[in-house]
Amino acid sequence: MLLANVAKYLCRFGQKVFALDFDLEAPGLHYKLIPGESPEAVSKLGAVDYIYSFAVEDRPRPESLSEYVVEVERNENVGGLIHLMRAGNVPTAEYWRRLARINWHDVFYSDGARGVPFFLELKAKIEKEFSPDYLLIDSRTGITEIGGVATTILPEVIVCLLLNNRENLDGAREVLRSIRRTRRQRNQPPAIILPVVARLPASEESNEAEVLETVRDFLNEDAPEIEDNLSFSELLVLHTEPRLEVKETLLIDSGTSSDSLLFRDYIHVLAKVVPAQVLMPT
Amino acid sequence: MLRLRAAAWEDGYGVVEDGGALFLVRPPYRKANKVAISESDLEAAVSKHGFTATDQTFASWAALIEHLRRRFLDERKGQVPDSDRIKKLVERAPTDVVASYLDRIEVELLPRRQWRAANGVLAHLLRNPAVRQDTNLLDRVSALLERTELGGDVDAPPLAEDFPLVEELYGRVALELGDRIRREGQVLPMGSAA
Repeated sequence: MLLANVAKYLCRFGQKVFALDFDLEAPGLHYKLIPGESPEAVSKLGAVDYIYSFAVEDRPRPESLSEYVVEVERNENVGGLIHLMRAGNVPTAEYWRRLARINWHDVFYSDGARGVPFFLELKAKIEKEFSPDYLLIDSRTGITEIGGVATTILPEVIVCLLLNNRENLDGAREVLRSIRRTRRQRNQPPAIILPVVARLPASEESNEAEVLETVRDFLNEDAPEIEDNLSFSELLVLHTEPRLEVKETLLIDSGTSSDSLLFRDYIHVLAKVVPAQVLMPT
Repeated sequence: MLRLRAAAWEDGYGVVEDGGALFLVRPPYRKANKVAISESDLEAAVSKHGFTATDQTFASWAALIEHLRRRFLDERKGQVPDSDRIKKLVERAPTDVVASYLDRIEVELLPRRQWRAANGVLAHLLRNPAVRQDTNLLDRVSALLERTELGGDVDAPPLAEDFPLVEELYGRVALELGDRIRREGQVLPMGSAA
């Protein structure tokens, strides 16, 4: 939801956005960005098909991504635009067959494996063909190869959603330390990491400041290797929104965004990622 | 923000101020090697123990440790062995070290199609008495030599030709990232070493 809201908001401020659904095992970005349209009517192909063609069928990669990408919003007045490469034709059995047939070991770890340049090329093609101001990638929760691509190989900024429970924080802290360590050891430029505590109740009894301090202290605890220490000075928040629990909708499209605390949270996150002049044009 | 207040560059030691507290850190820069110290300890480190006073700020621990490492290596540059010494080490290495060299040739050089580099090391290993006296090692070296000869004379992997856009936009380092990930066996390395 955060990614979809941010994409829509950027579009309204005249930005060109490319959204990429890499949450291959639980895809859903198209439901948020193409509401009301039958996803299969909009596009037959997506990220899984693009990867499958390379990794399983060993076909030449297409010159253009046009078959795999749909335009989901255009704001003529300000020049805003959203393109989407969805995960694929999710309701069909063929989507899941193709996903199951992709051998990630072959893609990344076999002799002569070409997975990394393949994904970097995808990013390069998006840059060349669509010239987006922002490429937003929706990544899988948990540790998967495609999650690793989305967090260590492709991004410049990583927005990490956290839940205030030990299971989630333990795992997230390890992932964040690993991202920092990995990029350092592979001589990649460091990525900006924005930790965001999600689903925090907005009530006064929730002791929000105390919760955030506890979470931050936990994330900043000394790692076994000092270089991996996280040292976050600030955590962002996404509050719960009861009406979204009843019916999930994009706040920016709801017409009631101005009185929504969660919507203001989205803007705070956005303000950390984009320059101020984008949100407040002169 | 972290401040490096003093350092013993040749040993990789540093005195770091973090949130008003002072810490001594030293290689291998693990949690156990980060110790809280007092302002008087810092004074003694500089006045008695050969630390150099400094005042440099760093945005993260990673940047600070990287700086200490780089200075440490700079101090020790003169001690790096030359290629003749490396050849001698290869030719005199004991059995277990030879086995580790062969492992690296198998998992690093050959998959990257570094035929000539692998061939060079294997040729030196053939002069190693430990190899000549051990049938298994000798067979392994011979088999790997055969693979390098089948591979040909050209080392450069054709990735740059296959992915010209990647090289154009992100440089050759980006193409080499795949090699590194293949060796590590994880795109996002998780968990501590066993």
